[in-house]
Amino acid sequence: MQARKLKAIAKKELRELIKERPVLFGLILGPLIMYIIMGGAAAAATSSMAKQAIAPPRVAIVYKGGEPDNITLLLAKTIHAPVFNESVSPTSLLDMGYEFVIIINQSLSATISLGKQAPITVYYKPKSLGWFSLNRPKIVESLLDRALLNATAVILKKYMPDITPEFLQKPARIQLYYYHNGRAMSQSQVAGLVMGVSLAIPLAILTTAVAATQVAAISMGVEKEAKTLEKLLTLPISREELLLGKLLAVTVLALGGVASYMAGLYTYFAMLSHSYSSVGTGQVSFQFTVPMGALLVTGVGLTLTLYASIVIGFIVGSQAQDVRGSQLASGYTTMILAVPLFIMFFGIDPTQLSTTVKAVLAVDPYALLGIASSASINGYASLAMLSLLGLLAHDAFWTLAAARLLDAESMIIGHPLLRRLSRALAKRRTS
Amino acid sequence: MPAPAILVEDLYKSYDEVRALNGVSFQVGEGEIYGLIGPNGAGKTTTLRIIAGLLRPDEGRVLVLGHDPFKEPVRVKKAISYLPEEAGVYKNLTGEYFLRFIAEIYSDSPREAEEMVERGAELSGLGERLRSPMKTYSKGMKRRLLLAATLMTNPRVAILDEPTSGLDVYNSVLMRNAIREYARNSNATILLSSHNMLEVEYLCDRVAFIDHGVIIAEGTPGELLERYGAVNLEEAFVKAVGGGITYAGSKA
Repeated sequence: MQARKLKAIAKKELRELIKERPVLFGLILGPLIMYIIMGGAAAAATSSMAKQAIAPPRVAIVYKGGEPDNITLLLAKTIHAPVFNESVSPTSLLDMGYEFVIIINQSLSATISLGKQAPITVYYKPKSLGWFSLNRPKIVESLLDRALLNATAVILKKYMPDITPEFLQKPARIQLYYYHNGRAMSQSQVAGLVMGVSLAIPLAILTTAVAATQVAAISMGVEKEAKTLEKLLTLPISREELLLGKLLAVTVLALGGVASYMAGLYTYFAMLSHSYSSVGTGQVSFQFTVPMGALLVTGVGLTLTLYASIVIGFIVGSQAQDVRGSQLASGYTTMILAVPLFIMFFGIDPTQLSTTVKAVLAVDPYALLGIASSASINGYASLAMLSLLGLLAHDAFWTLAAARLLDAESMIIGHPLLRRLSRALAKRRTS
Repeated sequence: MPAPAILVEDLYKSYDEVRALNGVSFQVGEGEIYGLIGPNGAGKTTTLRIIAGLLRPDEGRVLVLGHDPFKEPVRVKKAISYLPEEAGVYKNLTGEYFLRFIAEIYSDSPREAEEMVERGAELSGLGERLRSPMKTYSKGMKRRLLLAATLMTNPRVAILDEPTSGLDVYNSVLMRNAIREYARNSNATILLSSHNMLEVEYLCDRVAFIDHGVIIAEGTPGELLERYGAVNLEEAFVKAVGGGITYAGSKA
């Protein structure tokens, strides 16, 4: 394999493809426009979400240390919550249907009397993990703050100790835990999960893999439409060199597209954050912590998926007649492959799926990457590794498929199987 | 007797239910210009595509300079240069860039590539227009550029499928002259297909008539004219094919 020839093919591809309108609009301008529209839609959706978040929560209080004190009773009355003693476990209350369980220690009154912030633990069991679940606890936090301020007003009047301004604003320091699938998780973990699983990963997959499939398919479509494929296939280069040269060019373009998507995503988040602050339901923090291992798994998975996507694009594009055909074929292919990912986007936790469903999803490289990322974020190392192995198997399978399907004859006159299929369809239409 | 530059033996090829080649055999000697003449769908393009290694025959074998294009594809491709009938151009690239791209693939050094580009530029006769994007070229200009790209690599075997198809008289003459000039100077083997009998008569040392996937006659233009008692190859072809068609220009 000669580097000079590879460079020549890759350079030719880049120069030709970058000026193709479908590539320019689909990869560079499309994402920017799409995210700006998405940002507007998200702003509208946020207003509606804020109204939902105001729905009264079902809250229970667990008081640790004998009979509840006056502040706790006053708090319970203000937020309409029953008070249980410490013999009742918070998780059993959550399983009984309470959305929030507030744990109050005996030391609450004493701490507040000293003008210090009192630590309060709150457990929240969301119906499902999603954007809504990140915003909802703000309602309870706000209620708690107000109720505790009222409850401590009397104490403040009596003693007037040297209190801090922070205390005046928030007498309690709330430690929030999410209770999901039998596990307690911190807010940052949930934010990471929601961001990672529900948004960032599907978007990363869609931005890189889908764009790469599209460009790879268009690259073949351009050759077909311009009738340059036959000449190209008779040049003294091996099929591997030809495809590798194209793969290099497509990867460069796909990465350019990713940069554009990221710029669009940044705008989208900026609009989303602004809309959150403007509706007054409390800001959702986009800062989250994803373990390095999970980032590594996602990076490796994305690379493996990118390769499979480009090869799929070449195969699909090679069977189309022109650029439009290659766009359509790759569009339908990526749409089918992206469906499970979109379902994950709307709140299904892929790690909780049954083995059968996971096995079915393994035929889809995009879904496998979703599972790998989600599993690594949630600490299911073996599932993450298994998914990466699945992606490796995908790469091997698609390489073998390309070796069989991308011979000169199939590219020029179509694969015999597809020819038979189209003939059968034509016969059916005629009859 | 020296080995033929192109050996085609008993080629059969079907596209699903349609049989394109039905036992095509011929040989082309080194330095010879050989023409395949036949109507649309006769099997000319399929034959040329098989020789170029683009299509696999169902049966039969092909050797180019003694090598099998399917067993040693890169070796054969290095020796041949193929101009497809409906070849197009990369619309966003300039003619000069296209010549450079082809030269870089065929050459072993940048210097050799540069020489090829210079030769290609001269062969195309496009001058300053080589620096314009190819989408601005006329059909004749595109075809001349493609022929230049095919011949500038100094192929030992040039395969030209309908080189002047759809061109006006001026561009056809330019193309024919370029092919003839190249053949004279390089001693390369040229296999071409055409509908244009006058063109074949002007260019080819030997000619084969192909119809329904079979070679029905073969020889020098003079031999064919004599065999069929015809005044030109068009008449000879009509007589060879038969089928009740009368050549309007034939003598009674």
